[in-house]
Amino acid sequence: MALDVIVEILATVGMVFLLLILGLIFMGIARKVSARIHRRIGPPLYQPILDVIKLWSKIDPSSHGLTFDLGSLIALGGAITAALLLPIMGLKLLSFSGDFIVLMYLMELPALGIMLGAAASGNPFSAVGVYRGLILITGAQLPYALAVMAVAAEYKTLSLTEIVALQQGSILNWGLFRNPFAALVIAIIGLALLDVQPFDIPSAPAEISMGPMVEYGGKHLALMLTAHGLEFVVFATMYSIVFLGGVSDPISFIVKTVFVALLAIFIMNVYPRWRIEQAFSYLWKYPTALALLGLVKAVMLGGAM
Amino acid sequence: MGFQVLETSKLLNYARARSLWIVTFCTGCGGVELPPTATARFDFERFGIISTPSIRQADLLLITGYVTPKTLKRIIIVYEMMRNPKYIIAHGSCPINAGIYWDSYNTVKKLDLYIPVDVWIAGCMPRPEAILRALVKLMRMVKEGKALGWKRYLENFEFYRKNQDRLFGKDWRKREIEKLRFYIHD
Amino acid sequence: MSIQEMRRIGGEGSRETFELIIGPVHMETENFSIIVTVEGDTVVEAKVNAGFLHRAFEKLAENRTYIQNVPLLLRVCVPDPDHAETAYSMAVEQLLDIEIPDRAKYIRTIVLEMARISAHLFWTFGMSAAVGLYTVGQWSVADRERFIELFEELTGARIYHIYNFPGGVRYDIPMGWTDKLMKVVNHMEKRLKEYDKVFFENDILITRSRGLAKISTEEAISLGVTGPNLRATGVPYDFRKLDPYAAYPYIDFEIPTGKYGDAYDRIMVRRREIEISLNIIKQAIKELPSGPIMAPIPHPLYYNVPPGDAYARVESSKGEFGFYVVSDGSDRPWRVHIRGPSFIHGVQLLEKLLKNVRIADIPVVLKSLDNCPPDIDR
Repeated sequence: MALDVIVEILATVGMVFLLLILGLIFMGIARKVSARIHRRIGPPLYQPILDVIKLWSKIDPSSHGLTFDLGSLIALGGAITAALLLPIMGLKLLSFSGDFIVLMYLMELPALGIMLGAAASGNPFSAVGVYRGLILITGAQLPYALAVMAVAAEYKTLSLTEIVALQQGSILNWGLFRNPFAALVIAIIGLALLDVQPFDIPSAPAEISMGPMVEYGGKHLALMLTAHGLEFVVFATMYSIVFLGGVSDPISFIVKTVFVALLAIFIMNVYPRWRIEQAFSYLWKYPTALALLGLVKAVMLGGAM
Repeated sequence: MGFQVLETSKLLNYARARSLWIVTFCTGCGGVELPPTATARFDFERFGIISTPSIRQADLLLITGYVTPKTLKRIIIVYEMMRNPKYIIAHGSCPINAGIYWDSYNTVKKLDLYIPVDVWIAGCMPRPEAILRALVKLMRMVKEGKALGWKRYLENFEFYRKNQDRLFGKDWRKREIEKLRFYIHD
Repeated sequence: MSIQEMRRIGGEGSRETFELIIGPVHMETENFSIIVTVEGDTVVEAKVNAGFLHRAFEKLAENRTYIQNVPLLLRVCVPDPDHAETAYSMAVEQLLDIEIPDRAKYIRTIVLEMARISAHLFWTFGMSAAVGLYTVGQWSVADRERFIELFEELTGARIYHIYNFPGGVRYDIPMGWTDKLMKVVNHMEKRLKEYDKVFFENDILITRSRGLAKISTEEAISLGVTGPNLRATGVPYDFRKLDPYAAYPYIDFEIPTGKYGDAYDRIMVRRREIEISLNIIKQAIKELPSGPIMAPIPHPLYYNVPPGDAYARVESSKGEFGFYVVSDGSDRPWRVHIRGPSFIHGVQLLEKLLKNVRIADIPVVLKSLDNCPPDIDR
């Protein structure tokens, strides 16, 4: 009995560590692929790991009080908790019957954590970034919730494990083909959650100098970079689990998550950035309509396939 | 005590050398050669160098050309806002001896009287190859723990402040901070 | 400091305004700063804080001989130095009353158009970064390198060429250089189509810049706006046609104009200028005459210029660029006045246009005006 607990704890810690490294490698992939699209050689894949080590090595990191410090911790904590909910390669760490909906909301926690810390920093650029981020999250809520409902209605369950089980068999059982509307909406919302173009409005470097992150440096930024990388992996894994037939073995895990990440990277490199009100009205128009369609499809046709 | 480890650790110095982030602050003509250095032809991201708009995140300040007193105030403030360890590369002839503007009333003739410079690049205008060479040299210095300009600044702060006060007049920091009150917290 | 506290300090009375200091540590403003007063997300007032780059060119020019002034005065506008050196050379030529040889005229035209293209490609970098699309910026700077390489082969330098000299040009075209130039021109024409697909015809760019920061023709003329910013309002005002210099009178080209005078028109005028410049280069190469490249000029040690004054202007990539040179008969100019386009675009026009726009629009408006901070401060 005690041995089981120890093994479980070790597996959890190992998994979290692996996912953290994987998140940083994913950011490395993003930078490398972007560089190739820019026709450059680009940094090595392990570059973000070096960046994080360097940021930890700063001798006098600046702090603006407890809330400021907590912001980066909340971001990383939220991302780690979300990661533990995912059934990756048959490993079920925190899985329970309602984990899909919890995961969906935990994935917004990193952004909220950054907003909280940034609001405490007092820099006007942070303030602008914070309200932009909050508006963006508000705009994403409606289509996001509708799409999540559509997925739940489609599978008639809220457990990720069962969703994976329902997609087995043929490739046509995948969520992508069962409910393409919800799949498209979640992909668009994912861009907003991951803070990439055309939704990188909160941290627009050319407008407001990284927005919420402008005052973060050193250890705080290291935590945030790690959280951001992890969020990237969590989103890619979640998408593969819900729409691409699950990640039961290492090969499908790598192939599917990298595929999802590459899609985001390609979109990020060919789209400019929206203004916040344009992004808001876009999110409440097309993705919302699509999500409604998806919901109607799921309710009318049910899980029948 | 903990600082000693932070300063001399080989792994940390390697990571510092391979991940120099430049603060996006061009001070003169030299800024025109930075985009070519960053893009396809020369691509300094190979070495892990990127430019960041946030001062708090940056490690490296490039003084890209002549420095006027008004810019120098901002340079000093930016330099003091960056977190240690931090490095400076002075770019072109102008920071060395004001170059072609040697007789101008509004250029600073010797930059290292006011802030510590780690690597100098001579020439006007330095080619991207020269900039890359300086960056690689700085990387080597950081790796060996020899780029200690930030330490010189802490140790000889009285000297630098005396020179700065002579140029800008006493209490210039207070006046600048009044202008930039939202941006400077410590 | 909390947001409320910040607002209390920055605000006046009940209006909840705060100040944003954009630049000089900023990706888009380069070397000057804008202090904007913001209410909510809307800019109420913008004040430009220039002067970070003042070097006193006009004073320095009085202490240098006419020849020494060429390498000095071309540094006025860093991304586009060839137009400055040509304008100064033309002013000195007027004073000396010399006519440059035909071959020099054509070579000047080629060099000036190459300079215009590289300046516009450099601007594309800033413009695309301003809307958050880094890909095209990276491409355009890399394509600019091809022109820079050709410049290097022709003049020996990458940025400051010191090539257009009073009396003509300094070196003749090397063997095989025109073929290389043609190759680059053809390559650039192909690349422009890719830029169009990704950037210039991008829906998000159009939604963001169409109707933004509009300026009417009357307003633009009363402020003294020139160059692509004026042409975007629909006026074909271009010194290559109105006051032709170099070989422009012999070359057939059109002047792109906009319709509404908004940010998108300004962007598209510049984009079409790249295409037209490529055509001008092609024509100039085809008609390139042979002959000397330098008119007889005074001996460098006795370079005395007869008394008088002269004003010469060129159509630089940013607008009218002129030099007014007064000579008192000695070997140094008595007075040099620089008329740059950027002070008007970057200070007066920018302050006017940055009203009732969103914070996110500030870099777009700024970059669509394409000012040159070193030229503002001089």
